[in-house]
Amino acid sequence: MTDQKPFTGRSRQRRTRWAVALGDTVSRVLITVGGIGTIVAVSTVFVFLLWVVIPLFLPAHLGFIREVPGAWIANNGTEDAAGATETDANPVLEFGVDEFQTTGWVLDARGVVTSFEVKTGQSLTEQDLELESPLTAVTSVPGFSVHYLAGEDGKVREADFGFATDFLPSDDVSDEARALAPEQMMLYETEDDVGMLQKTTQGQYRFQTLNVEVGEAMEFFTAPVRLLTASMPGNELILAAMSAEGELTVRRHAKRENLLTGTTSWEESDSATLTIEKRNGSLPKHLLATGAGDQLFVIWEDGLLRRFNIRRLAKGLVAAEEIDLLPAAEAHLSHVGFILGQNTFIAADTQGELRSWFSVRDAQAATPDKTTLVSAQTYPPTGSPVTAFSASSRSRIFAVGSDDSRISIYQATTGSRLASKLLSADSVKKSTAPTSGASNGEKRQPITHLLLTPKDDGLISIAGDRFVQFAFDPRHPEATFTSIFRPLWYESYPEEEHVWQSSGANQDLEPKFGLMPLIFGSLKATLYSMLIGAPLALLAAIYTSEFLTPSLRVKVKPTIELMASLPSVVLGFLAALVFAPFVEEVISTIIAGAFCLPICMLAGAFLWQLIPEPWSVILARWRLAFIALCIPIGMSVSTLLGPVVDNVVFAGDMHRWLDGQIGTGTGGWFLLFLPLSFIGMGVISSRWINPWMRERSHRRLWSGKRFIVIDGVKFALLGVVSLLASWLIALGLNAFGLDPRGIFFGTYVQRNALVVGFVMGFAIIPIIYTIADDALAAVPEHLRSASLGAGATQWQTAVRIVVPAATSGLFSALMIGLGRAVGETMIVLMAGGNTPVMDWNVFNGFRTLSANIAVELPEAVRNSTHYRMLFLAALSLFILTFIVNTIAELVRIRFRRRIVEL
Amino acid sequence: MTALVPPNTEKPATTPAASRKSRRRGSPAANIIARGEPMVWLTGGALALCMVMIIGLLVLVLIQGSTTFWPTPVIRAHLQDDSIRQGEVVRRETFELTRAMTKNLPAESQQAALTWMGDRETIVAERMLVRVGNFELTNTHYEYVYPFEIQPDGLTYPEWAMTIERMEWGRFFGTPAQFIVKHTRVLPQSEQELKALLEFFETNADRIPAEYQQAVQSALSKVDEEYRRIRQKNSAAFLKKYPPAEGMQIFVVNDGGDPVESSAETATDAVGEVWHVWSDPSRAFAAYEVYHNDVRERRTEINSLEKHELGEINSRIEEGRLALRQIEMAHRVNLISPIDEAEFARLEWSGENERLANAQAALSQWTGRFGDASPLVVAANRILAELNEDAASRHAAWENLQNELREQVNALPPAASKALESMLKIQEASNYDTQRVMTQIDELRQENDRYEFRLQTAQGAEVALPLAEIVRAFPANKIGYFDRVRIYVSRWEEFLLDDPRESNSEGGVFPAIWGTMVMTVLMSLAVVPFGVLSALYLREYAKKGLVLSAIRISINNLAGVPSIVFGVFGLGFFCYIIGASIDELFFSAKLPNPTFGKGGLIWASFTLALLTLPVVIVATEEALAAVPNSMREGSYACGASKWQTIRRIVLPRALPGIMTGAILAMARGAGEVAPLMLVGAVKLAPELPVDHLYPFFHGERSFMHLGFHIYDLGFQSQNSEAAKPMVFTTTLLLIVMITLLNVSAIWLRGRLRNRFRVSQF
Repeated sequence: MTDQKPFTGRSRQRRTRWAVALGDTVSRVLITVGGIGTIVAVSTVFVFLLWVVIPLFLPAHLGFIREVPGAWIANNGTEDAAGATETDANPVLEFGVDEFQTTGWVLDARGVVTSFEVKTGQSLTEQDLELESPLTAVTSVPGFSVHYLAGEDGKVREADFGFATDFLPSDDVSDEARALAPEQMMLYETEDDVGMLQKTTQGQYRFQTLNVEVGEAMEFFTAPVRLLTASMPGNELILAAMSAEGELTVRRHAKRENLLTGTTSWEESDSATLTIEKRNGSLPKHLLATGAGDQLFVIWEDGLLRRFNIRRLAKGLVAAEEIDLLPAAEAHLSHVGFILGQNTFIAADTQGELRSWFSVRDAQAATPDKTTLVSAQTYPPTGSPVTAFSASSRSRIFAVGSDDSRISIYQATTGSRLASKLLSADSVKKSTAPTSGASNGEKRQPITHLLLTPKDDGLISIAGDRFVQFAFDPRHPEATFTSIFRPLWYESYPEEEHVWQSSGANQDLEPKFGLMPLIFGSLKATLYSMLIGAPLALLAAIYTSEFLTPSLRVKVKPTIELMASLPSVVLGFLAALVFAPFVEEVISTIIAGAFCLPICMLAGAFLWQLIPEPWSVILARWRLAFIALCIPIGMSVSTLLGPVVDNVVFAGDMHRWLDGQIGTGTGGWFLLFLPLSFIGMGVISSRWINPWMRERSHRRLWSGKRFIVIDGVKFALLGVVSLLASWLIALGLNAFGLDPRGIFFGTYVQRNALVVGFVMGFAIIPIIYTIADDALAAVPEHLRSASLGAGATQWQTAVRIVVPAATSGLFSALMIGLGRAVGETMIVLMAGGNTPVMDWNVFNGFRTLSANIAVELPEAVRNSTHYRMLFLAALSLFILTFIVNTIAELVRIRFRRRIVEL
Repeated sequence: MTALVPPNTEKPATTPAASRKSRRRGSPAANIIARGEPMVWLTGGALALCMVMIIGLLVLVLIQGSTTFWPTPVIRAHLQDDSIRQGEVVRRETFELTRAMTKNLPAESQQAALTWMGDRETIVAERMLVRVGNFELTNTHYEYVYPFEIQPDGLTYPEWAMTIERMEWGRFFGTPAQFIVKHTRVLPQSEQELKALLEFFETNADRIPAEYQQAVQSALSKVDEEYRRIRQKNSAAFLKKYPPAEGMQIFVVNDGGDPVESSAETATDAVGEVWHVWSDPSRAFAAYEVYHNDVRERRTEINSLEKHELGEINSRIEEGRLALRQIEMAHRVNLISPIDEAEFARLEWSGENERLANAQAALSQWTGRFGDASPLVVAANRILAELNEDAASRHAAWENLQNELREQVNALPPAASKALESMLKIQEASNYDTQRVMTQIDELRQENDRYEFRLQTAQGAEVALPLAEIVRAFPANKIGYFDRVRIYVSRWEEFLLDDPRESNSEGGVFPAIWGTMVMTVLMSLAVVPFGVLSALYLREYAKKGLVLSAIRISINNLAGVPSIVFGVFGLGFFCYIIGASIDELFFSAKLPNPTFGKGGLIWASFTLALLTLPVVIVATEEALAAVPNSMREGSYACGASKWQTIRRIVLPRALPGIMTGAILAMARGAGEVAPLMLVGAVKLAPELPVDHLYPFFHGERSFMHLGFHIYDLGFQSQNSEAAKPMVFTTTLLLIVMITLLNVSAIWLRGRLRNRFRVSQF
């Protein structure tokens, strides 16, 4: 073949030119790479969302950094053992570190403050506070650097353990300091101070020194102070102390600012005293004053708590409530401490059980101030007696140390244990002094002191004379599977609830990340819009494909598709600014219209049947126009009926009726059951009345005309009967004391689910309509022809042949509409009211996942828990719509395959 | 389906003597029930309702949007309590008044309402929402006027009530009181010189050496005498230039005095200004019309000078500053604050220097006039020498600072000193430029200040409105139909071409239109190539199988993923990861202020490109599928390669389909707002994303968007009543834009379908 000469005489190149081959290869590679790359790029959306969300669920990290011998602890311990409490060889009363974890300090019972370098444990300075007597109690106010020290002399002093930060000029620092690498630090001495010097990344020299200032003594008792607590609500200071003799004094101080010197001082404004009797021979062991300054808790070791309301001290101290914190009698309370905000306290007992308590308002409470203490959360137990406790100063995390040298960290609200770790094995081995508290004979030292560092990024513990530093990363403790999807008992809430409240007015208010209200909002919006949109769209599609003339069809379909391209922001704006106020005005008319319009159309159909056949055949061309005419008629009827509805159903004033101020539940039930009873009557009619009538007609008892009239009368009668039926049901339900208000109805809010449902109907109707119409149109013509040929009417063909054949297509149309409704943002954002409540009330607002993202994401701090939670919301939306759409798509593919086979 | 007549048209079954079979078929009940007319009507009703809803909505937007700009008459309502409301009627609405509700009314109108109601329990009437304007006086834009509040015959349409649209404070309603044109007397040189001399000695009185005090004083009194003589002569000549004319008053402002009507008695020897005043409303308005255009033009010029020239200068300085900041960061030195200090010192010196130069120039003239030996000249020389010293010390301070800086930089690599020098140069140049532009602006401002329109409000207060602040003014009750059309058109013009003002509730939406357009075009540039590539791969290259259908399902799915999810992705990925990395690499000098690490035009475009990718892929695939296989086979048979076939045969035929996809994507993108809220659309972006400043395209800038504009106005606006008309017009604009895009896509699709008919589902 190849050597045959071509008939044109020209020799033809038989091999593909290299340029063509190259072009082919290049294009193939390019298209393949580009195509697959694009598809991969799109799938990164999912991957990226996941990547941001995953850290939410990563466990907290608690890593051992170092262990240093605290020489000063040992020294003090030996030197001063006699002066300190007998049972504890360690005289450390309080300790703290700066926020960079460079320098720490300890305060011992002598009133000596020792600062030390955290890294080496080497002591830097020693400062005697020169108190006249040994210290017996120390308390601090969370969030402030001030501490209150009480001594054997019965006096309380304010002491501010502040870290002074200084930036040294680079000319002044020593050569050794200059040699530091950025971020590196060293012990540094200036002429008058010793502290830590750190070179920052900006090349500055940050010099940190501990600065302790002790205020004037405030005299409380003559006897030693045994317990002390403080709180600072607003510009007040509340100090409560108990002496060794059981005398309890609470003092309220107001802040006074000296305008000349600029210093502030506390001036006593109110006080009260009470002597607490011994119980089982012992005085209370813990004393706590809440952060709001309104409650004082006096707690005995056996778990009894006596609550005092200290809002008005002038009335004296009267116990408001007594509660047993330890219903199980075996254990004793070992530690009680507040977490951030000083509202919730954690009670730890000698068996290692931990519970959180806070007070809630409860109108039913038996207490005089209608407040009661509740135990909101129980934490995974530590297993052995709790010996140390520390609460974070920036989040609701607390750490406890236990007798078997275990450290456990918890999130207070969610109740989850974030981390739990034994002090390293080394430290256990090295521990020298056997402790009295260890019960199981192992040489594990109890943790005597524990401290969560100011930035929540570290944990320092003291066990014996050793001192262990951990790195701590809580990650996102507020977000756990439980806290996101299950109701939680948040502080001051009366019960467990789903709450979304991402940010509060101040730091004390915990963020509440319950996604359920938002998911609920999305579902509510979807439900109401589908209730309105889906029937309209499906019915309209059926009419379009089965009854509309082709010439009209090509005009109608694009018009409705045009609706799909309406930007949702336009719909949202119209919903919020035009429809919402309008609907509020004419709500009863709209409710009347919901029933009047279909009834008008049915009535129109019965009238249409009365038209003699030859006429109706000619008029059929304009049937849609006649149907459309029913709309204004129906609307005017409903305008007339509106006041009637108002009077009959809503007792004359809808808003007040909805608020539950007037009327009974009958009207509401009546409205709810009206559609049901209409449907029921329809079923009864087609099941029993129509066959009966058909039979009469077969027997030639009724002529055609007469039948039509009877049919119309039947329709009218059924209408009246269903009205009566639903009224009766409503009366019955009302008699049982049931009221739909509070369930399906409730207070009217201008931007509500009804408005959103109505307007979102606009958004989803065209989508459902187009796909449903396509599906119906895809049913092969021969099926229709066969059905019509066999004598079926158009309606019969539509209902019995076309719709069943297209069911799966219609289903996928609904699913796609659903997918759109779930994720719609602008309409719900503008017209949904944006309150994250879980309430089925049609007339109340809601907040959807999508609107929440739009509102909060711009303000969310990058990589914060809030930010990741919003990503989780986006991911849930993505997954939700993906599932819905995939189902729709699979059904549609099946439908397409089946329809071809038909 | 074409059968309109029900196909089972049977004989009316009225003949009693029919066979059993035919009787069954012909039973009227079976017939009528089978036709299911009520159900058909219900389905038809659903369709009709949908149509009514969509058409009603469009008509609502169309009517509200298009009537907003129509100028309406100004109404004046004289109320029972003798107060007056004057303004445009925004709308009339019915309200229901019951006896109980009257208690909530203000005390004055309670009685009126009760008498008006008579013995009826409730009454339904019409109230008016009146836009009363004059916000700076009334503290409200709108007020309801109830029928019972109005005095009998209290509702009038004052002939000369003017509607005035202003740059600030919203509308103003009032009647023209006066229109004033001020003519300032330009001082001839001789007078000017003498005045300057007198002023010089007055300001520097404490510097005159003691021994010269006497001599200078006596010399100055002579100068003063001469000055007065010249001034009087000049004033008289100046007055003559402005003779009184018909319908116009002439006022004279003497130096430092109030304006007085010009007459023989009031003529003085020191005329500063002459005012032409038209007090008759028609003449005042006529004068306004004469001058307003020029004034507005100057105002526009001022705006453009401020925006463009000063903007350019600032961007130059910013650039130099960034270069320095980079060096600062690289070498850990401190440059920017010292350079600012030096600049401050220079400004001090240059101010001093200018004053000095002026005095010096004057001195040389006096020397010519009075001779070297005159005590005046000698004293002036002494004073000047002193001033010179001051200036020199300031100059030295500046030089010192500069030198210190140079020394510091010299230790660094040469690039640093180069940057410093260029910054210094930029500062010097920009200083000169700023001066020049500011002088220009000042001149224009002064010229504009010559015109003043004084109006009287309905309450009787007289308010002077600077002419430059008036956008548009017309006597609303006097103008004819054509004038109304003219105003209507000009308002549309302003809407389409101007910047917004009054927190977006007035003015135009040009930046939003521009932003939407640029964003949409950029988006389609990003989405179309990739969409087409993917579609080509899926349709022409990929092997059919499970994977392919999975991919196809996912792509269809993506079309259904909520747009806000893409917004979240865009913010997290484009802005916070890619943008932040770009910032770190190239714009570290600006950190911590993000350049690309925040929402911006390109990120918005990319996000929307992702969002609309499925639209393009699906449309392109459809178009590719519509190309008959026989054409491909024919091409292969002719020996064409696959790529040649695609390029020459398939793509040209699929082009309309691809374009349809692109247009549909643009329509979707233009209307999408939710993701844009997260990735860069803002309420007000003074700088356009594409402008005349190098590099012309600023992808990192935030932008305005029509859809976001609607959201912001309708939802976040303080005064939603005032914003409403604007939202409607913006909505109309957006809908028209999107509808045009969609209609063109549908038209294209229709053409494509007609060419290659294939079933669509």
